Amino acid sequence: MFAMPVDTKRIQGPEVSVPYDQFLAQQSQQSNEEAIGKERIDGRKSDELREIFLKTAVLSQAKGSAYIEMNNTKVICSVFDPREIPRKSEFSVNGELFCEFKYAPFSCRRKRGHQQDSEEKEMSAYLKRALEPAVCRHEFPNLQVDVYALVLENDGSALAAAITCAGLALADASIPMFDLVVAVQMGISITGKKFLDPTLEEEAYCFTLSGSDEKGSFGRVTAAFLPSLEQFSQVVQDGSMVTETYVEVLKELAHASKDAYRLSQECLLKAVQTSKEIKNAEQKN
Amino acid sequence: MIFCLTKSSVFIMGSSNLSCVPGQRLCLADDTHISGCGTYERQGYIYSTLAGEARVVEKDKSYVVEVHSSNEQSIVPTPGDIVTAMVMMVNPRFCKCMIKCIGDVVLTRPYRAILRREDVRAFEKDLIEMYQCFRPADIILARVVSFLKTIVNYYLQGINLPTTDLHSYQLSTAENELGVVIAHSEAGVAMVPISWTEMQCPKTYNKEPRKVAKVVPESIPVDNANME
Repeated sequence: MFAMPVDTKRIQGPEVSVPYDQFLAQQSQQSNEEAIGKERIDGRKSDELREIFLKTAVLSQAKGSAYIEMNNTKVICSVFDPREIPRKSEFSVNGELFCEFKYAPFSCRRKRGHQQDSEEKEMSAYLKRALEPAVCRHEFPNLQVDVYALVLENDGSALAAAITCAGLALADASIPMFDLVVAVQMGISITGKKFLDPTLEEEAYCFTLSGSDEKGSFGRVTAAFLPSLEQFSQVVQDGSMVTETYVEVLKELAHASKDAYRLSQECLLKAVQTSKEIKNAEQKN
Repeated sequence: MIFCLTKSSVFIMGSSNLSCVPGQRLCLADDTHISGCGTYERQGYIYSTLAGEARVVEKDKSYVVEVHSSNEQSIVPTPGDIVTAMVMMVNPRFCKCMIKCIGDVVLTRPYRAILRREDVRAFEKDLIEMYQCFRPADIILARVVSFLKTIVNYYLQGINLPTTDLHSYQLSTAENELGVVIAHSEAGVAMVPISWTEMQCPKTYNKEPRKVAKVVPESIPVDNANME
């Protein structure tokens, strides 16, 4: 690995640091893995989402913003007004989306750098591809809308949370959209066990291939869904999967995203209602 | 909590506004129901593109379905809009401006625009001298010209545009109501228009040439002193 240029103006963490969880109650990874193999640690069913908390208009500086919390996965998203694209020479009929996906330095077990690393760049590209079909880009030709997703805490399904959150933030910023975007992740282990909306441990479990040499399906799939158009805007899959399993997983994800869609819808409607009430109250005064 | 507008309920909903989210189906699109701002039409239905209130506006025996955002909607200059801009740089061929307002909406972010020599006024286009019309830091009223129209015009004339011109907005002041509205003299005082082509400094009485806009008052103030 090559060394990143160090920014001396920032406080650097110690070069050699030990993750805090090593000092937590001793729990051997082996037993933990066994536990996951049997049932989910938080007691969910295999096709059950974590409880989702959504809130729009959380930032004052941004045009639109949203916050999502799925137990320990927390993402905040901000969207800014259309602006001119610097150093752009040709005219484009469709506006552009600029998406930045970033893990906060404190969001993961390992400290993240302040610069985007390659994983974050990849995630940014996924985020962009998931959002683009949903936005009416012809309404702001030649301009660019900035979308920033910051993962405050990563406990699995961070990309899915970021996509859902960014969809809400775009709607909150009054950027015209064909549809809302909701994303859900599913993990599949080599033993054939499915985890909807997996936690970080479950995600890791899906990639352990210990004790099996059969050619089964394993890995994780993140699908962004446009619920009223009933179309997938983006599917990210890693690991290896048999076609039948893959199709099955996609069906389940589409079904699960309807629950998430209902929540986003409710959250937006509530925001509209409150702003309406505020306006009415102002008119009375 | 999902609201749905059926064809018949549109009329009822006209008074009490319906809240909607992007991608929500609002009603059937037919001869009497037209998709207005904040909506789009797909496969015979009208859908919302914004989170806000749906309104039904009656227009020429038909109903225009519109969605108005509860937040301030980000607006972008579109061809035909009247904008307020500040002149940043003047050269013999064009001047560069910054669009500050569209109509009466103040923008959070300025947009770059270009006002070319031939768009300054409608007559005697060949006699226009840019520096006799605008100076840096003037505030002007102008109309946004269609991108495509100018590009096609240039293409027909066989002029190769510098690439930077193509993606900034094109402005025109070729109307009596458009042109300079606020200008400061060399003494730093706001000048008073004295004709279509001149403004005068109230301090030094120097006259400076400008393409002056005829500002139409929005409402004529009633002089209470004279009434008594």
